Amino acid sequence: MVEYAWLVPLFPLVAYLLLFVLGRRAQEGVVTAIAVLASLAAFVVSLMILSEVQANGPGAPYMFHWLTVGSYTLSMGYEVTALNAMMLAVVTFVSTLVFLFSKSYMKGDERFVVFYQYLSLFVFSMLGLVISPNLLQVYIFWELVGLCSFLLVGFWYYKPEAAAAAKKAFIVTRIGDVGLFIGIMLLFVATGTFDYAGVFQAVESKNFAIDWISPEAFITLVAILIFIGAIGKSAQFPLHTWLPDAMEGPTPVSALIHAATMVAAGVYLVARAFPIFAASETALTVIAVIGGITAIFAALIGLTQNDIKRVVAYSTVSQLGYMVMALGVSAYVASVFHLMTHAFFKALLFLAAGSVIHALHHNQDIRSMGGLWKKMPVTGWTFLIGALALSGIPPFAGFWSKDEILLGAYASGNTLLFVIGLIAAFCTAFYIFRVFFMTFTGEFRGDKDTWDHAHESGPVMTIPLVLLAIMALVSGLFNSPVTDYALADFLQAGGLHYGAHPEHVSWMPYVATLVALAGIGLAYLMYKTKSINPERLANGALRPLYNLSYNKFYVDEIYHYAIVLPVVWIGRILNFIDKWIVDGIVRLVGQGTYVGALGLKYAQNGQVQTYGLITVLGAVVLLGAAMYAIGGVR
Amino acid sequence: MTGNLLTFIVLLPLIAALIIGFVPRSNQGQARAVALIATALSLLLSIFVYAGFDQDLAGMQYTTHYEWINIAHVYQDKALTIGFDLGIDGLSLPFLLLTGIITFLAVLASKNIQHRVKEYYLWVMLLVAGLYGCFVALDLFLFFLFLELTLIPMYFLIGIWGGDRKGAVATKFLVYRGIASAFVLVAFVALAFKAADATGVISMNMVNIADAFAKASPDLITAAFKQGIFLVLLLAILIEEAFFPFHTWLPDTHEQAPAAVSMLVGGVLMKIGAYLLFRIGVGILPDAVQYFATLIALIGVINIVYAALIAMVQKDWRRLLAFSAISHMGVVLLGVAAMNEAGLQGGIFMTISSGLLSGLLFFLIGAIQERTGTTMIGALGGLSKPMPILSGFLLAAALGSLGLPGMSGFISEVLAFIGAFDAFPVLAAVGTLGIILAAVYLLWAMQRTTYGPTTAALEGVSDAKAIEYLPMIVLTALILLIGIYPSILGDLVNPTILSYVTGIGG
Repeated sequence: MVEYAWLVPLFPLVAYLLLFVLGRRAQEGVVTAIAVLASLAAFVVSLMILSEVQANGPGAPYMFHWLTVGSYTLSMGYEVTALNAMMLAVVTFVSTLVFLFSKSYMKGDERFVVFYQYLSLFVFSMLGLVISPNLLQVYIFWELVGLCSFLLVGFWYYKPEAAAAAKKAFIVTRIGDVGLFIGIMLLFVATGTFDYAGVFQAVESKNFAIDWISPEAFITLVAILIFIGAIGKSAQFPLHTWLPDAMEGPTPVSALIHAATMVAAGVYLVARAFPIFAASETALTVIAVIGGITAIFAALIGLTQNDIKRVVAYSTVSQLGYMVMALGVSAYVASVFHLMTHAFFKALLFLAAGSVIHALHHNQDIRSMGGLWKKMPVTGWTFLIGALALSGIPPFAGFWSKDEILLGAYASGNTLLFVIGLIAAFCTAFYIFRVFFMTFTGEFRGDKDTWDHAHESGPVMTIPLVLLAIMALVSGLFNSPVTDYALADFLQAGGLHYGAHPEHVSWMPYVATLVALAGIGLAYLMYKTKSINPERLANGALRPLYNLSYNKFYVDEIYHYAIVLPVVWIGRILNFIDKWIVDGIVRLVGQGTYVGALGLKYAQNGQVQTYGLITVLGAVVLLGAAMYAIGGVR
Repeated sequence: MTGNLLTFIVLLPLIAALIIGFVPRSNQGQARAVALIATALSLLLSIFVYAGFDQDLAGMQYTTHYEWINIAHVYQDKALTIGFDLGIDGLSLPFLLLTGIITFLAVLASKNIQHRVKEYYLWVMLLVAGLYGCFVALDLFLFFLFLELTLIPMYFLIGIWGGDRKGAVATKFLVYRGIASAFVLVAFVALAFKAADATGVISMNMVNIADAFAKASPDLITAAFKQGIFLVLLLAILIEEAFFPFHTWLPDTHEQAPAAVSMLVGGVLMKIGAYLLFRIGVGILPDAVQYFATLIALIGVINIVYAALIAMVQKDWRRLLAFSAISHMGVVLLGVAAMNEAGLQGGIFMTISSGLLSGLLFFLIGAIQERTGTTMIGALGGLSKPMPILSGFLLAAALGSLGLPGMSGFISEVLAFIGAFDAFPVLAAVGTLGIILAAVYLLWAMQRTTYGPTTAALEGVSDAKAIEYLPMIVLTALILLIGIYPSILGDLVNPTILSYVTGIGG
């Protein structure tokens, strides 16, 4: 089945084309059927590939010629490795459920079919990215994934906030993309190939066709450039600002793209290209630090947000920070493991949030929620499972993978990173249970009409929730003593041996669990029993800190004044110079040389004959000069 | 027949112009029909040429030769020969096809011209003949004549059918390009006379000249001479191609010219300069290009960034697109300056891609203007609702223009930047700013036009008409085709590029 891996992205592509042809006349049921079945087919093939890779190990890449450039050949193709076999299964699984969920969520939307077109195109792009055997192809799908995100965030195009968020997502990630672009261009110039295998070989032998920089410095430079791409796509500090805004898109989009799949692409790329990073100590340190900063930074912002989706969005940023930090400390398996478990429980949290939002007629403010457990038990239960998984409570999935990351950070000897990891874990547990308690317990704080209409979502929405909840419960076991760390062995079969079996520290699980429980406990005291008054805290001595967190550390404002406005002003000033000075001077020179002799009277008479004559005269004069010059050269 | 295909391609629009001259002024439909038929036939013949073209050969094919002017003892006892020489190779064929497609679609898009219709098509036909001629002429003198043939029709097309500043802008266009032509002529004559030192005959045939320059000893044709001629040529190219600081005619022209004429300017006319750079610069004077490589790359990067920054603050779509095109053509300079396989191929790709995208974008903006009466970005908004089809194509065109993979702009950028990063890593890195800025201004303008709430005034505007689908679909399809399967263009130009690059090495 491995040689048919191209089938996996093909299914959603065909679905996209079919839906495109069908257009808006298509019935919602037909549209959903096409998209869900295609995604399901891709999932089935992915599972077959996964089991085959587990049995026989990964295969060699399949390549075909794409473009000849002089003496070089650019190829496209596909490959199956342990890592991407896992990714294929995760992406198609989550997509299928999100597709199903969307049927109900997007019901009645005027552009229902367009929504499914974009979703299918997105899944195609993501799967294409995953099976790419070379960096150029990765970049191609990387951008297409970004495009789909743009289209889906801005799906409700008539909402100005949605349009702005879509543009912001595209441009901020593109800043990162250009880093990646430069990185792979330099790699091609230095190694003559885009293929992972060829690039890794060159990195290992430090044999580069570049003379303006030492091989070691070159590896560091390229690794950091590629990582800049990951910073953008995986919403790492300082390019994280687009992800929370991207919540303007429909909630299923947030679940699929901005939690489970696309934002994981950055982490995936660093993992896939890890040999380049492993060759540079400096690059790894940069990655670890950025990841650590992101993990804590986003967690701190998450503490005070009131929009249910934004809290979950900041938790995504923070969790991606964990994954990146893990890669930085060479805890490769831990990072990939967390990537997988996170995909399940984060998609779950988003869809559960979507279920709530759907029930409350698109209200997303947790301050006007409460007591929904009674109305929506399935949503409540599944959200709780997701929250427990995110907090890292055993035996839920997040516990196992986060524990591994903390182990990796601890083993790296960087105590600060480890402590940051713990503090962020505390914040995570606190903010997600803050949302849980404010949404599902206590009294409903919205208007009575909304409360009366709120009800549990139908099976189309609850079935995906339940399936994801099961995965959020069991997927942690894939790399636990229960399965004898099966995932680590599976990934190692691909030849990557980074941090497969970190030394286990006996007290780690207890400390991690205690920290998480403490976070939950504090949330319980503040938002369930109300023994601690959050208002008083926010308005008291902690006021400045609260403001800092609530206003997201003013990063957007800083960017606006430090970057956006200056660039716009440079544009305005250049535009002025262009209009009045550049154009003016050229006009002057032009008139002085050619027209001056004939007098301005004739120059402005608008007669084409005059201009023709001037042109010819000018040519004759110039010709004479040139003839003279030629004679001179002889 | 095949031998004369190129002749027919050039003659058809001329004949059409003649026929239109005899069409009664009252019958406007006839003039349009003649123009449509002529451009359609020329396009068909161009596709014929493409079908019969041997892609593995580097030299000229479909050559036509007629003796034209022979004067003995013109200069130092040498005879001057000027021939009606036409031919095509892997470099000019993409330009020929581009011309065929854009000219036909531009005539199609001229439907909304209601005023002095007969004259309009007459001038367009002359312009089209000139455009075709530039890309198939092998004789430099002939090339020059065709180049001049584009000048006068453009002057009238802007001057009569243009916007509120048409007179001044038409004059500006004429003066700028007239000066450029003068430089071109000087360079050509110098080339021919110098080549004559080696061959003994003053031939204006560019193949002969290239041959003579390649073979002549450095004593006979000195490096300094080549550099001097190249500088003159470069000046002409910078003006023709609207590069900073000689670019200001382009935004004005696009702003004032009717949309269909803008398609011709942005799609084809502007690309003549790039063609000259490849054909004469890289083809005949590679050492000189190499010598000035850093300068060319620098001009390229300045244009990429400068024009992108200015595009960002434009209020009129047409001016924005003009600056966007300048920024994109900066990438061409960057690629050419690298003087390696990837850079040159990227330069050609970018030129063709920019032509197709300009054609599509100006068509769409023209269609929007026709319906809403404006091209001011701030006056538009929410067009997705009343016109989803046109808005969809505008989105596609904007994405293509900002270099989205799967479309022609992306592969062009990749190739040009591979070349540039090899030769000028720092300048190339600065040039990538253009990639970010392109996303900024194109997405902003596109969203401002099609996203957001629809204003009451725009509620009722109509979406694409049947006749408008053809230009939109054809151009979008070609942009996608080159993006997804770049070999379709790459295999054409590769042999020529290889021959150039070996020339540089040798």
